[in-house]
Amino acid sequence: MKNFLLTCLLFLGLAANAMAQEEVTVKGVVTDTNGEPLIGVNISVKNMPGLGTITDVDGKYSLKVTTFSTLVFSYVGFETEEVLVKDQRVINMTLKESVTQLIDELVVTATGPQEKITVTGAITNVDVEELKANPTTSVANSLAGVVPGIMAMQKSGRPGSVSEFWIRSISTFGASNAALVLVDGFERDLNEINVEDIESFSVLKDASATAIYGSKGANGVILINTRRGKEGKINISAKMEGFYNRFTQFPEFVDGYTYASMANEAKITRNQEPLYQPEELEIFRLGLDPDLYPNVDWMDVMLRDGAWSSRATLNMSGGGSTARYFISGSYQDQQGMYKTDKSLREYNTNANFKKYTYRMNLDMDITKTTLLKVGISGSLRKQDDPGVGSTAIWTALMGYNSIMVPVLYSDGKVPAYGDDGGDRFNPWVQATMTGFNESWQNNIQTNVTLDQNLDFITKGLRFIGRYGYDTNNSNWINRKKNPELWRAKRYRTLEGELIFERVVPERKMTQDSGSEGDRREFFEWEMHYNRRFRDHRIGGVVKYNQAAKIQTQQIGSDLKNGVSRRNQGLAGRVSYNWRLRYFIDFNFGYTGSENFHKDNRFGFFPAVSGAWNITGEPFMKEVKWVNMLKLRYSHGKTGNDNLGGIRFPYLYTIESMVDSDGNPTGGYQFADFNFDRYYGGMRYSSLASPNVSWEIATKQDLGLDFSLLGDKLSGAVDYFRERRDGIYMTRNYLPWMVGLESNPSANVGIVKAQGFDGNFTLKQDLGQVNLTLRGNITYSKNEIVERDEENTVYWYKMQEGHRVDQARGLVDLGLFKDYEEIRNSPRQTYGEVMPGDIKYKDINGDGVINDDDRVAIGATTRPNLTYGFGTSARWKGLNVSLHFQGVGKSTYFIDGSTVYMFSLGDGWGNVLKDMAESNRWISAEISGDPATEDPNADYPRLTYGNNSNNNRQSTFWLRNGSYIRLKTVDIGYTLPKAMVNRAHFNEVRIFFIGTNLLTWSGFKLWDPEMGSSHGKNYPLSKTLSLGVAINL
Amino acid sequence: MKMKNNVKIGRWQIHWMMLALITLCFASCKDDNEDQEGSFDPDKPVVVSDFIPKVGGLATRMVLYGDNFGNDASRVKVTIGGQNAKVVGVKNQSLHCIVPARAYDGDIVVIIVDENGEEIARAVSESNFVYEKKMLVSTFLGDYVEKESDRVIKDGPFGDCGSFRNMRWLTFDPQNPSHMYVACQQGGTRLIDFEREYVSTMSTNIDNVSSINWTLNGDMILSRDHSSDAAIGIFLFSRESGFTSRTDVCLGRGVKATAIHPVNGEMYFTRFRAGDVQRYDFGTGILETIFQNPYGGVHFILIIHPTGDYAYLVECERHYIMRTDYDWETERFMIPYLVCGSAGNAGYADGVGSSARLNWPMQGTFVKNPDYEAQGGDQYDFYFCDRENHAIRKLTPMGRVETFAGRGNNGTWGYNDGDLRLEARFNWPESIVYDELRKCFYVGDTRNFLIRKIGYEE
Repeated sequence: MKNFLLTCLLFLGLAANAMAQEEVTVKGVVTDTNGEPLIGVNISVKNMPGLGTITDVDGKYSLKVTTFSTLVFSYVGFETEEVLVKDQRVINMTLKESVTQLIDELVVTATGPQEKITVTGAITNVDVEELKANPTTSVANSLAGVVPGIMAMQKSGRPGSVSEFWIRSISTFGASNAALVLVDGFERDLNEINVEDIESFSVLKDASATAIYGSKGANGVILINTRRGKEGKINISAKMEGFYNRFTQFPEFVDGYTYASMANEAKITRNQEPLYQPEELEIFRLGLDPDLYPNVDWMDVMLRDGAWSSRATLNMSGGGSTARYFISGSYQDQQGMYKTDKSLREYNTNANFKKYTYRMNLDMDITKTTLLKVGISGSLRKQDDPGVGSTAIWTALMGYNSIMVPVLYSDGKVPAYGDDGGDRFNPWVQATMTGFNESWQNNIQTNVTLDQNLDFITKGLRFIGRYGYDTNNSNWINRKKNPELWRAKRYRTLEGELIFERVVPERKMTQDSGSEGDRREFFEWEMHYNRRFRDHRIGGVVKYNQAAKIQTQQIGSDLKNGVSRRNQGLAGRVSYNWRLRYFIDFNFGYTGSENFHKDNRFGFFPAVSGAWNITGEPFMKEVKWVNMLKLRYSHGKTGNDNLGGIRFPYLYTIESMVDSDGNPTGGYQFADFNFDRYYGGMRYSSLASPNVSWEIATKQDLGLDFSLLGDKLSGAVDYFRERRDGIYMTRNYLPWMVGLESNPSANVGIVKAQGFDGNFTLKQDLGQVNLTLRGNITYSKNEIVERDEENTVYWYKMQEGHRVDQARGLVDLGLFKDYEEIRNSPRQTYGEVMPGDIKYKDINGDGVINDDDRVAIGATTRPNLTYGFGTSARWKGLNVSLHFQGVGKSTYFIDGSTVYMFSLGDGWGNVLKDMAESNRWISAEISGDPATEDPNADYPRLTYGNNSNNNRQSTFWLRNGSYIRLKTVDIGYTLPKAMVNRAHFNEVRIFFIGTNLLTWSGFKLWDPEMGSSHGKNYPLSKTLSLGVAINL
Repeated sequence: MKMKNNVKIGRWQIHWMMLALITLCFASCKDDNEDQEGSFDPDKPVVVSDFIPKVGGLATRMVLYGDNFGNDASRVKVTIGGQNAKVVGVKNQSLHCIVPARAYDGDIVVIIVDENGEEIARAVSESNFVYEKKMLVSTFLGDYVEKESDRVIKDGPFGDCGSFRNMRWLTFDPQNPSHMYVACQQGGTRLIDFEREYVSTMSTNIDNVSSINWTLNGDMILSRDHSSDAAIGIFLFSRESGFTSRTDVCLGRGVKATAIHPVNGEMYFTRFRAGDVQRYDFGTGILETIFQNPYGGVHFILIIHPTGDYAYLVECERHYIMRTDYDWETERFMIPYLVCGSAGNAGYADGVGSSARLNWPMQGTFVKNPDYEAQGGDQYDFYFCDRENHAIRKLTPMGRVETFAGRGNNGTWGYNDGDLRLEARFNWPESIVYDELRKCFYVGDTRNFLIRKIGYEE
């Protein structure tokens, strides 16, 4: 908070910025082609950073300069003009509106920016403005539904948590399906980047775009380039936002009386004695004994209605023709939702998250042809948490029902339900009295790039060398303590006094700390060659790269941990096009990873792609409404060498055999009787898998890019197929007769996937209103072709032929109506069945319901369909945009103590209000109404304790995770230039952003996006934010 | 000129907006306080309109309905049958109190007092509460401690006699009904003197006492549970010495319990490792094995019926009970057979014979049941501790096992007094004795470190 304030003051102070004065004063008026004065045009002096002015409301300016300097007139949306000052004292300038066409758009590819028309692979250029619209802590959170080809889900709403995302399809059940993220060319963490620093963001999806990355490219690549300085007067922008976060959905639980009554029902309906006598229920209802019959709304006790967050960024850029700079800093503070104990002034136990980033990019022209770029950036991310951690708190919040214990006993004793080191402490204790944890990550990145134009050797030749050096550190300090915790016995003494038992003794604060870290070094050089020979354009790139990553902390005694992970590769690209009409591209990566045996270390990943620019054809010249139409196809291979941290799988490990006391065993006693010459045995503790190598993805992509009606409607559609071979997995099902001590690993799995993604943008001007409509969609379906799994007589039990992570379970046929029906149905083997229990389908027809009747049901937790659409409108200074995002083809089971009511049978677990109020099977003896014995009820007959027949994965508990939500609403107003210019601002925009404001989903229990089976996670937030962006 | 003015406002607007934003960051939310329930209104009458339950006994949780009770439990007094009831909570229109002992008359009076305890209003319930005298579990001796570290073992008067540990056996001196002995595996053998109301430790110089029994002429037999084949397992303390003079009786390894035949006077005992039942004749000094237990290396004990007709062989570690009949001719117990439970199957189920399930049955005691008088035959029920079911079970002569006390409110272990089945809970009851004089049971509740009492309230 303090920092935020300081930052604010900082740019308040900057408002009065410097103006220089030199020999002559030049005056003039800047107008557009219609003669209207332009307000706020930047006039700077070339090669004199800091010197310049802006035009006033009448378009007039006045500037003191030395003669023979060059004035640069620049204005957003207009062409920049330069004028040399000689002896003129009045320079009136007319600026022309700049005309940019979609065709001129640049796309950042693996080998640098490229004109969009020449791109043959499936690459999506993301509009950074769209990412900025989502004010979260991490860029990953704003990808879903915005970028075609990216699917994402946010599993937790805890401050600082980030979304899981994947490109196009999960095509492996191996260790990693994470995309490769390259920031300024090197592998870096997406989540530490401040979105305001991003210049370009592109997603490389097919093989032709990623083959260059060889064994790292199979899961797709995200390329991010950060902003760099531009020649001109200093440009300062600042942005401040204040957020108010609320949970999108708050799990609501029943009150004490309802819980106790339902617990009684659960007992009685199974012919057991009730838990509570009628007078005890009355005590609950009336709240007459808060010690033994409490009624606590833990959510209310624990959580605030909302939390405040703030974010501020400041960046400055500018420079002259020989050197340019971009400097930025940002600060973000996200507060947790826990209520904290106000008496604890020394520290804050809330789950707060703070992030600081900075970046400095410097470009220097050392010679006319040599450009040196230096970039330094860093981030510090700090996370606080209560001593037991957020997971324990949510477990307790969902496990503590309202009648378990009070917040405090009336004599001041602190209650706990049980002692297991955290989970069963009461949530209030967990959040406020268990100490606190701090963790932080600080990363520093450095890159140096040398860009040498080699036109003097042959025209079109360029050399780029790049070196990067990153250090990443994460540290944590956990401080734990807890007070003495008590639990009252079930009843009072005969005299009416409480009886206590101390559940947990007091623990004074202890602390421990830890750290993790790594250091990465990168080195690359590239030779580019681009040349046009009349109608033929040829391009070529050769790229050498090497990277090393070494664990720097906690490497332990295993020597393998001290060896850096190194990769090396040579990659290249040859492209050719004829008259920008026919394009052909060949890419390859020859990359190696020293993690594999030397015979399998290097792999060659080629890709070929072609495109046909139909609009380039003479016959299309007449078709005016088509501005661009391009067909693309690519086919190629990429790899995935991420085996999940396994080091040198080709090495075996031999261990001495020891018994449970640590003495040698498995050997031979060489000595005579009464003497000891025992030599223990040795054995393979892990077998070498020398043939292990990377996964290979063979990808095809057929795409169409279009731009129609004068660029009003544009977009792209891609169909993709992929086959992933050699998925690394442990061979668990080798016959015993092979006689192995441990299971070796091999590249045996195969998965294929296909799908499509696409997007469109429609722009239309209605009078003074500019309307934009945009949408995107990604759909994919994968299928396991081969996997090392146990054979079975029932084909449907195999994972083969199904999706990766396919949900499986029994198929329910509603609830049993009566005993008659139970007798006449196949025997269910999961325990005794009564009417009102779940009836299952006998899939294999053997008259018995057991695990052989489990089949694939639904889809996967992770969605297979993601879409987003939105609209934005601009009218003068006002802009409004809405963005909707949705997912489909996502199903998951719900389970656990929140869902299976009373399943733990010891009082732990809660009942969701929604479930209590919905229709459940109740026997007529209890409800007095035969209609409540509904075989189609939403929930089965209650059980106190686990009901192993009902509480198992089946279609009964399978929920559809699809949803659509109003992801962002962005309303902004840019103050009139006339007003802000007098205050020495260039532009001031005030905006309101709301995220996750509305959600439509069939699933009501908790936020569907989390994909959580039990809801015991920090829920996602809806955010209302108000901010101001200022440009000086 | 006009324009200039406007611009100035513009600049300030921006600064104000920033300020507003900054303030936003500092804002925080306040919690609403719950409204206080209505307090006592002296101008209005106090009314008791109804109460539940209508029938109950000592410690019944009663809810009173009415009006103008106020909201301060310290200002409300309730008497039931003239006895003061503890008021737990009050909310103007309802009140929760605990039914006191001896509230026989059952009339309910609510009295509102001022800060000095002076009565300012009262109300009487129209109908009366029906007070039933019932059997209860209560705490007889020992201090309940909330923390393990507060526990002490010490001698002292009732009410200040510390805790009891590992109470393996309870017995009354057959010739002095005011002396009860507790064989504690740790902490010595304790004497509970009902006359002096004092708990003392008997100096026997024997550790690990597993049982205490009495010869027909009133001498005390102590068994020592040790693991040596060559050490004395059973000792005799003569009555005439005031149980101070100790005599060795016989060797015995792993003696878990002794039993004296109530008619013929010979002694039987069970052995852990050997897994057999030994017979010792005080007259001849002959020690012999009379039968082999089905299991060796298990904890099992023998308890003889007061008539001497048979004995129960309680297979503690195998969770079942066998019966061995007495052959009056040979004066020996015969090969035992199953009565209840299932060998090796621990569990909790009431039922007849092998359908019942036990979990570590321990000491039991025979109690005459007057209901059986008419039908003749065996007159005694066998009450025993079912240690790991935390209950006192009852085995009828017909072989039916019922739960007599404990596991209140469908629970398992714990510490609660009150109604035998609805409320009472034990934690590892191991020993039990019936007090013929006071017509009640005493239970060695090992893990609550207390001696509990089961009987009608006084």
